[in-house]
Amino acid sequence: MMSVEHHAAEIVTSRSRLPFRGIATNYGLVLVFAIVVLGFSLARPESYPTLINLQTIASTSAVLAVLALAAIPPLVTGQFDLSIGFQLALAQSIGAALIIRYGLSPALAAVIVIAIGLAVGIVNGALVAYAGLNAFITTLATGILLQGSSQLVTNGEAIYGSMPAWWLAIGRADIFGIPLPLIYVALFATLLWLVLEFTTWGRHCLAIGANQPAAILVGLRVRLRILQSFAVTGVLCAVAGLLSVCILGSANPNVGVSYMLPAFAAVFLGATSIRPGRFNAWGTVIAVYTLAAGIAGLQQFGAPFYIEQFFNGGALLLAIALAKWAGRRFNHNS
Amino acid sequence: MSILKLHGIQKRYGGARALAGVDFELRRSEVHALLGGNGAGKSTLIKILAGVERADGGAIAIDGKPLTARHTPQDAFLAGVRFVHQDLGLFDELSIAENVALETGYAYRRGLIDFAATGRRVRDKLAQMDAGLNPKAHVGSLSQAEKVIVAIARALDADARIVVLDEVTASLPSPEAAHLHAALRAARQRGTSFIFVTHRIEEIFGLCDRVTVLANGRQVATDAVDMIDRATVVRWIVGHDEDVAVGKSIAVGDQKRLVLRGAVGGPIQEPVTLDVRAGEILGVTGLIGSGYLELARWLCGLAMPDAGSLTVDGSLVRFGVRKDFERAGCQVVPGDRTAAIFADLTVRENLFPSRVMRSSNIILPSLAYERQAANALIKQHAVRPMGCSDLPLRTLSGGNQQKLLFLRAVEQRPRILILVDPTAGVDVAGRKDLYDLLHSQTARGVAVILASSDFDEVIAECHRAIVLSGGRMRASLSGPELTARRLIAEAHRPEDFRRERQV
Repeated sequence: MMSVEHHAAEIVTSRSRLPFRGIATNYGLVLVFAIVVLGFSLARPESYPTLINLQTIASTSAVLAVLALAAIPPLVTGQFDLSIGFQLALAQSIGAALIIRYGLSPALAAVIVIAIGLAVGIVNGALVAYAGLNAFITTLATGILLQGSSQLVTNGEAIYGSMPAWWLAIGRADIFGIPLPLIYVALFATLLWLVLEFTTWGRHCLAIGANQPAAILVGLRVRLRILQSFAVTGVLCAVAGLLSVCILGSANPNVGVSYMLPAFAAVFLGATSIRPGRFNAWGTVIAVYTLAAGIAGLQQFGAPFYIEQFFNGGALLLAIALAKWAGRRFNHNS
Repeated sequence: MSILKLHGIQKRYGGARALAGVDFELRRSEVHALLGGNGAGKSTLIKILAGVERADGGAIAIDGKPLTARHTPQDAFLAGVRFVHQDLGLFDELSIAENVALETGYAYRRGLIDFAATGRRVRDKLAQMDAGLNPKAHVGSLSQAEKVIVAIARALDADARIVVLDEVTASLPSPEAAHLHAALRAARQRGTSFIFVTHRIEEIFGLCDRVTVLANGRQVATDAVDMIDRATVVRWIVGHDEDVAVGKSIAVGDQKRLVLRGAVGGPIQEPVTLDVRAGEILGVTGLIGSGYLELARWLCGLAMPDAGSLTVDGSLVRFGVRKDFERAGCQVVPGDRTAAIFADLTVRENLFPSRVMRSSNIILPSLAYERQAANALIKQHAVRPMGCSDLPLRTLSGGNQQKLLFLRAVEQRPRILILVDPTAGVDVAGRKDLYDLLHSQTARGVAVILASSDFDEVIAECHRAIVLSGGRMRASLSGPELTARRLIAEAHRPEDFRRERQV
C-alpha cells in the first residue's frame, strides 16, 4: 500500500515534469470539441462549417445547455434533482399557455413562470433539506407530479399559436451572426462559475457537498444552503423553459424526459473537464456543444434520428472511463 | 502447556524502534492480558502475529511448530489464530445467524441455504459462550457487549485455537464489560486460548489468568494476575517516564472564558461543572468509555446534554447549536479527520471553508488573493508539500492535514479552542508543530480545552486536567498533582469497576 505522502509527491512531480498531462486532463474535452468540429468541417465542407449550420447547433442546444447548468447546484451540495426536465416542461407549458391562450404579455408571463419555478425549487429543497427525504426519490416523485401538472395545463396537447414578434426575437435574433441564445448560455455559465468558485455561498455549497459533517462542524447552514441550491435550479429550469418558448414559439407538455437525460449526460461529461472531478459550468457547456456538434455532423452523413441517444450514452461512458483512468494515472487512490 | 510462543520479536519502522525483542508465551485454555500505553508496541506485536506486518527478527511457534518469519495472514489462520478487532466487522442490518454464517458458512439443503439449520448451528455456538442470544435478532439491536460476544462466537470455528481480542472493550460502556467477561470464561472451558489486548487495567482482574505488560517496545513483566495488584501494574505501565512536565510557561489570565455548569446526560451520570480561563489549557481526560468524549462533544456544540448550561464570556450559548458556538468564538480541532476535512476540495478551500478570502480594494473576488493568503499560511507553518494551495487536501499526509485543520480553526480568530484527540495518528515531529501553534494561541489569550485520552499529552500540555471515570468527574488536577500516576489512578477508579462487575 502506498502512503498518502507518496501520492502527493507523485502528483507534484508528475505535474512539473509533464505539464502536458495536466492540460490534457483539464482541457481534453475542449480538444475533443475542436476535433469534432474540424473533422466534420473537412469531411462535409459544403454543409457543415456554414454559418447557418453553426447557428442552428448553437441555438437549438442552448435550452439544453441552460437546463444542464440548472442541474449543477444540487449536485454540488451532494444532492440530485431528477425533476429538471419536468420543471422545464412545466415552464414551457405554462409560459406558452399564458401567452397564447390567455393573451398575457410575455413579460408578465415570464415573471409568473419564474416565480412558479422558484416555488417548485423551494418545495423540492424543503422536502430534501428540512424533511430529510432522499433527494433522488423525492425529485422523481415531484417530477412525475410536475409532468402531470404540465398535462393538466395543456390538456395533454401541444400548444401552437401566435406570439409577439419581439418575444420570438429574444430566441431567434443574432448579434454579428452570434445567436442570442448562445450569448445567454455564456452569460449563465459565467454567472454560475463565478458564484461557485468565487463567492462565499458557492464555497459553502462545495463544502457541504464534499463532507456534510465537516460542514456542520465549521458552522455552515447546511439545510438552508441545500434548499437554496434547489431554488436556484428551479429558477434556471424556468429560464430554460422560457427560452425554449422563445425559440420554438410553442410548447409540448411531454418533453421532460427527453431533456433530462442529455442534460445529465452533459453535466457528468462536463465534470471530467476544466475542473476534473467537480461539477462545473464551463465543462458542462462544452460537453453540451461537443455532443450537439457530433450529433449534427453524424446526421449530415445520413445517420438516423436515434443516433443521438447512442452518441450521448456512448460519449458519457467513454468519458467517465477515461476520467477514471486519468485519475488513476495521476494519483492511485481514486 | 504452551500453545503459542513468541521469542525475541523485533520490529523497526524507519528509524523508530517499535519492538525491541519481545518474548510472549500463551498457555492452553488461558486468558492472557496484553497491556501497555499508546505506542508501547501492543498492536505491532499483534500485527506480526497476524502476518500483516513482518518481524525484523525473532521466532513464532504455535503448538511447537514454527511459523515462518514471512508467514501470511492465511498461514496464521490455518494455524488456528483468530482475530477480533475493535471495530468488530459486523453487519448491523443482518441477523446474528447471518453474521456468523457469513464467516463460518451456511448450512445447505438441496443447494439452497437452510436458514433453520444455520440458526441451530449458531445457537449452539452462542450457547458455548453462555450467551442466551436469539440468532434471529438483528445485530443492530444488540448492546455493544452482545455485539462483541457475537464477533467472538463468529471467530470460534472448529479450528480456532488462539483468539486475539484486540481492544474489543475499548468502545464498551463499562457496565457491559461484565457480561462479556462471563461469556469469555465460558468459552475458555472448551480449550481455546485468548490474548486480551486492552488498556483498562481493572478489566484484567477476575478475567485474565496472566498479564504481560509492554512499554516502549519492551516486555516489562509477565506474571499471574492473582499474584499482583493494580499498583504494580500501574508502575509497570508508567515505567520511569513519569512526572515529566514541559511547555506550560504561558501565564493564565483571571478572566473565565467558558463556564459549563451542571452538565449531565448520556454516559455522564453526575453533573459536571468546569471553567477555562484565558490563556489556560484545560485537559479533559479519561479512558475511552469514561464519558470524556461525550463531554467534549457537548463543548464542541455537536451533542446536547440533558441538563446544564454553558456560558462563553458571560453570555449563554445553546447546546447543540453550532451557529451559537461559532458566534461565541469557539473553534473545534477534531482528531477524527473523516468528519472534519473536505478531502476532495483544495487546501485553499479547506483553509477558508466558511468565507471566501478577498482583498478589500477590489470589488471582484480575487482568486489570486486567496491563493496568496493560503500559500503564506502554508509557508509560515511549514505545511508540506510547499505551495500546495490548489492541491486536493487528500493528497497531503495525515500530519499535514491535521495542521491544516488547526490553521483553519486559528484563522477564525477563536476565543476558545476545543481540541478532541488532536494528535491521534500524528508523529512526534508533527505533534511538536501542533503544540507550538497551540502555545501561540494561548499567548494571545485563547482558552483551550484539550480533550484527550493520551495521558502523556495531557500531562505535558495542560495547566489543569479534569479526569472522568465511569461517567463521573473524579478529580481536577493541577500543578504538582498532575502526574501520570495520579491520572492513571483517577482514571481507573476501582469502585467503578467493582460496581460494574455486580451488574
